[in-house]
Amino acid sequence: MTPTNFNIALAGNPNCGKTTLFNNLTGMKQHVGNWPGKTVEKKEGFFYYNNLKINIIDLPGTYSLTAYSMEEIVTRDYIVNESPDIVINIVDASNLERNLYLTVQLIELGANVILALNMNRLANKKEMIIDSKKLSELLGIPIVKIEAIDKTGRDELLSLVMKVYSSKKKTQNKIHYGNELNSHIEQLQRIIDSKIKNETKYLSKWLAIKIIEEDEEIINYVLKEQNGKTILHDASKIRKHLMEVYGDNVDAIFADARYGFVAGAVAECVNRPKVDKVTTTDKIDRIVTNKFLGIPIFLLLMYLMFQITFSAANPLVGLIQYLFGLLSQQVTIILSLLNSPDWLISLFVDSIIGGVGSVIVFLPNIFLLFLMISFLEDSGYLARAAFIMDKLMHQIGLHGKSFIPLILGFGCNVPAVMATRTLDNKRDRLLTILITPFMSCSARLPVYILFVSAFFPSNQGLIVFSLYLLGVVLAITAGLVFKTTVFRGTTSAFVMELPPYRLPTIKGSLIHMWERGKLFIIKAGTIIFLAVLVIWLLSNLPLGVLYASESSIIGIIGKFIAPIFAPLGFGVWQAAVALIFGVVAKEVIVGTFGALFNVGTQGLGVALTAVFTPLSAYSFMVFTLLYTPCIPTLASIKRETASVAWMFFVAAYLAVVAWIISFIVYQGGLLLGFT
Amino acid sequence: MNESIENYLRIIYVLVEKQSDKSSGIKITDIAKEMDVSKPSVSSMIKKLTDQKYLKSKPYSKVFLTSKGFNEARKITHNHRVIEVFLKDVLNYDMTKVHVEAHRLEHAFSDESIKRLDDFLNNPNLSPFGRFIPHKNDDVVLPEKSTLDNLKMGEFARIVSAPGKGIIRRRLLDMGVVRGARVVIERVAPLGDPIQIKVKGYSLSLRKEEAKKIDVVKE
Repeated sequence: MTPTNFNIALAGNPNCGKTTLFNNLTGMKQHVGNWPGKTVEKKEGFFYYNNLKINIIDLPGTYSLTAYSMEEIVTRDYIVNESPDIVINIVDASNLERNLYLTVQLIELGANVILALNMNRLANKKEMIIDSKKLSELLGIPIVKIEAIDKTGRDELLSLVMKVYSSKKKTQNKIHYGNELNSHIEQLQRIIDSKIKNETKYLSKWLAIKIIEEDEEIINYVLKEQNGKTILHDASKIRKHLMEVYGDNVDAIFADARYGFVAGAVAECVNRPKVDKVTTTDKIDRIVTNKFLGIPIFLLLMYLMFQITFSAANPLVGLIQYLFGLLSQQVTIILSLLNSPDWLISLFVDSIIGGVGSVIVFLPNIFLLFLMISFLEDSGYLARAAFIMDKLMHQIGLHGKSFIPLILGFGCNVPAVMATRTLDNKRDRLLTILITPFMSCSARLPVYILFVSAFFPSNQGLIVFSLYLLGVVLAITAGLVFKTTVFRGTTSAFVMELPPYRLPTIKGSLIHMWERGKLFIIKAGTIIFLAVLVIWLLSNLPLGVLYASESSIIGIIGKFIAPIFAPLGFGVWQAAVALIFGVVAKEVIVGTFGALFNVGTQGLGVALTAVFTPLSAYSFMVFTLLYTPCIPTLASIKRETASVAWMFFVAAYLAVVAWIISFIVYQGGLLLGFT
Repeated sequence: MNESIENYLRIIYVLVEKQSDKSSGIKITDIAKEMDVSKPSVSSMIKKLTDQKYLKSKPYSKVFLTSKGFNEARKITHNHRVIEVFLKDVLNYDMTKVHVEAHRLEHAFSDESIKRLDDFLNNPNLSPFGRFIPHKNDDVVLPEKSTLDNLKMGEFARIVSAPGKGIIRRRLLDMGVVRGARVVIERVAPLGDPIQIKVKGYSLSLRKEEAKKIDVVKE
């Protein structure tokens, strides 16, 4: 028998080795995307076993299957709607109880579960002896021992998958919730069976459990059914009764019952030492979360990460810039030889090559950054970093993990926004994204350098530092404002596992890095490409004008909007045009000024003194720091929030903030007697 | 000692436990309510207990445990609750049945087997219902209630109730912070918040403001 479409899904807790197994099974034959309409990552792949193509999906790591988190909803919807042939539940043997809590819920859901007991070596080190045969009997599902990081147990796992698949046996739900709870679940199950034409894929027992548990999604689903109201009415009676008997809320009753069942099974099948062994993780934690050493070590690691991301990547960035410069030159020469019109040369050189180049130039940073983030995350240190920084971040409404994206923002906002993925909670992710652009990225530095060297030659360092500081102060202010307005009433939980330290696998980190980089090129690349094309058109129309000159459309637009900037001290059209170009990438402002004043970098400083005063120069730098982030950043924001509205909101609110702050700087400066 | 005497002593012990002033005595109506029997039958039993020097009582007034009565009451309460732990944790009994079953068994266990059972269970301090298990020489003690944020480093405790509401409560329940779970504070973050606890054999971190809402009893 050769099934045409054989699907298996991997489910398990975060940090259980799920993704490691997925990577080792699929290698590079995987695809990372998003679940439709959600910001939850979807990983699919395939591999061959006995000449059979097996599709495999890596479900998001979850601790439970409630309707409270996107990841959990995605997981259970996939299992119910797509009904994969086999669900492999990867379980960390060294952390059996909490892992099996999910297993119980997978069985409830009706998944065809095989349990892959992972990290047995670690469990052995903790002197835990697991009787997997007995556990298998108690849970009613087959169990196989594996080590996801190497090949141990993989053949056994795969042949078990085939065996279970061909036997067509479905997992039997042997979970015991205690007689009282059991009888009421069955009572409601009977009501459901008799009153709903349950043609859906949901098991009626699962529906009964979820209704009693007050699962929002399922209650809404049942309400739509005929007799839905009567069922809910019966359920509320049962719920009330249970709450009287147990003296607690239903959520706790079920959590108790599931953990109770698991604890019973574990007590029977696991022999563990009376006193926990001191593990390597404990020893490392004693140092890295030490009262005095914790923060210095954290800062040192952040510094290293920053240095590697931006300094180590520099030669590569330079190389890419050089290659693109060379390419422009060659294309110009070739096109000229072919007698191409100027507009065509400009289209290729200024727009396409320039535009693509401006994206590619980020790649070394992004690759390196994600290599390091995946290293930090997979090793378990990221959770400690969040643990250390949470108090500080919480005060401005953020989560401990927000610190890393914000720090990275100083290098480049694009990877910073992408790094918000490490935050589990949507609210935390959004809030972090909203304030990330205040971190003055390295692309803004050339603009500062140009202006300080022309206007503040004796105080260069101080002026630049003041801009960075202003960004941080405004980020904190914005955090506080958002916390009390847009996100008012929402709280972010900080209930986070501190997983044992592990050596990340090189393969895993490389795959992670590659997938991220690829996503960035595709997503940011397309948007940037369109944007530069539009700007190129505006700079070259009407036909025959000098590129981006006063009489081109962009020059006209610049002139038109220049008065908006007059109260800020730089109401000249060149500044307006430079700022429009700066949205493509902030460092482009420098080049644009060069082109508009028709001088090289050498004479630019002098040229600028004709239109700027020291005060208006400072005001311009403040504006550059704060206004609408560059298009690649906006593209990443759209991607990470899965919302165009948020992207436009960020673009607009930062422009407003920039205008207000620059206004205060300029007008305030004038009042104080600066020029 | 017969079973009904033991039952009365245990009920009186529970009533004393509930009082804030331990020496204020127990009303006969309260005993009747707790035992679910009529007042006259309680009165005759009280007389019997008084005759056997377990209680001090005057007609139409409150009753007091003598020290002999107190020791017996404490012992039977201890036995009852240790058996409850055994039924719940080891035999995986349903909470609804634990009490009734323990009620049946408590009279049958010898001192020796109770001691062994107690040791086998690591001398638990808390019954599945969150009640304190009194040991020899203990006064009538209420379990030392506290909240998770108040524990000292390395101090063991048991969760009495899952905290708060909404998503944080749900998350904590899913992460194993359920009634009866044993926890210990492993570490405090360098800036004093959040904290790291060990529960269900793994490390979990949470903020003090969340820990504050989690009731525990110290072991």
